[in-house]
Amino acid sequence: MQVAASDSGVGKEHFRRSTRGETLEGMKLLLGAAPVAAMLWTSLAGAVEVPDGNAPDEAAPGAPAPVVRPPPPPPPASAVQVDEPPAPEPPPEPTRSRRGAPPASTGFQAHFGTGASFPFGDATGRPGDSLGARYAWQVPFLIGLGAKLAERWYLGGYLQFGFGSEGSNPGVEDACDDKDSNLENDVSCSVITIRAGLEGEYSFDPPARWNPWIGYGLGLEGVVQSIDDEPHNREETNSSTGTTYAKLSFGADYRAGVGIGPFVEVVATRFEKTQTEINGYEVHSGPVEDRALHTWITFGFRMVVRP
Amino acid sequence: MRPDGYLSSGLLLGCLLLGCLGHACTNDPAGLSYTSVTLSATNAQGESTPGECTTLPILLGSHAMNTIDFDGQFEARVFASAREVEISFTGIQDPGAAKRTLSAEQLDAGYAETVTLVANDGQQFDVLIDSGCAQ
Repeated sequence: MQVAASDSGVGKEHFRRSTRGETLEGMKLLLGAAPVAAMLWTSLAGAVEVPDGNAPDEAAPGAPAPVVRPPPPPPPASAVQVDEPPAPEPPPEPTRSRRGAPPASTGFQAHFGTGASFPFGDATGRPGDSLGARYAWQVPFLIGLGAKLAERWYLGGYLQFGFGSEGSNPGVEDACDDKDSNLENDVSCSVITIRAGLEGEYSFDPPARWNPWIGYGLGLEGVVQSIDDEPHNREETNSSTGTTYAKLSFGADYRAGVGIGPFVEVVATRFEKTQTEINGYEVHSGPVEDRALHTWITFGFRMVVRP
Repeated sequence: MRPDGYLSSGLLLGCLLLGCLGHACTNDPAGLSYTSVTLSATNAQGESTPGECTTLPILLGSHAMNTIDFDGQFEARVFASAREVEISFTGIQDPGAAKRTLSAEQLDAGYAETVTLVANDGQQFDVLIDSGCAQ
């Protein structure tokens, strides 16, 4: 390649003409390769995943401030003016699975879960009538059916059953204890909790392998406690029902064919109605006079179908 | 035991019988002891109405409501929970004075009280509040 003369008499026009042949040849090659390079770059960017928080443009905490380089000076006006074709715009990035996780689903979704539920708060405002005095911890079984309205948003219904026994009230505990040695449970006690309602969930990172989520729901709760005194042929059943004002939950799903992950759930309910039956006959039914708020806190695992 | 390791049917039957006998000997069904209260009334002529028993429930949150009618003269309302029983009357003069709240402990320890009431029509009654249940 020849060095262009810088004679002012010839000027820049001379430069352009004197190097026209070779310069244009090189430019054509470069221009022809530009779209290919752009496509390659797009493909590479999609294939090579940068973990969240490790993106090069994100400064790690405590790291020195990045050096800001001034932008390159604009080319001189006399530079080779070649009509460059517009660089191809990168296609809109589709929702990609990350690290082999399945793509985020929309449409039908279901989840099932279990764990351990612990009672807190008061069943009523009467002294000593705490939820823990009435009911012990329970083993819950949770079912949720609904739909992912969008990748991040789920809306559906929930149904929960919890199984446990009597609480810490000494009188009831004593009554439920089997005191003889005939290997028969003469007095049996049980507690069943039923909960149903609507819930919504928000996923923070739907296509990721680990997808954290939070949820809120509201509905109804009923707890049925019974004590069956076989020797006296007397069965007493107490039902307390109320409104669940908040069913707060959060967790994270490990997304593979199905999603599996831990969750924590806090359900806040106020009993509003109570009913007592003796041997199947109702002996009292009415509103709860001293209403109070109670909560069940559940620690568990769940499985998500179509995560 | 048979050589093949299985129990013979006779031996099995014997074991079952022994088990049933043993079960019958050790079966001592005690069940629960209940707290209850009985209300009965006697008028000025000495005529008594049979007592009616109300058993306190066992479970926290349970209630038992019993309304007792005394020959149409007046009514007693017995509202029982696992811890206490509230007894109130309607159809009498000064119902506030006749109202009682008794704890389960009081009833378990043995309680008896006669409350003299005057029905709205002027008849006088002696109402016996007694722990226990004759039924």
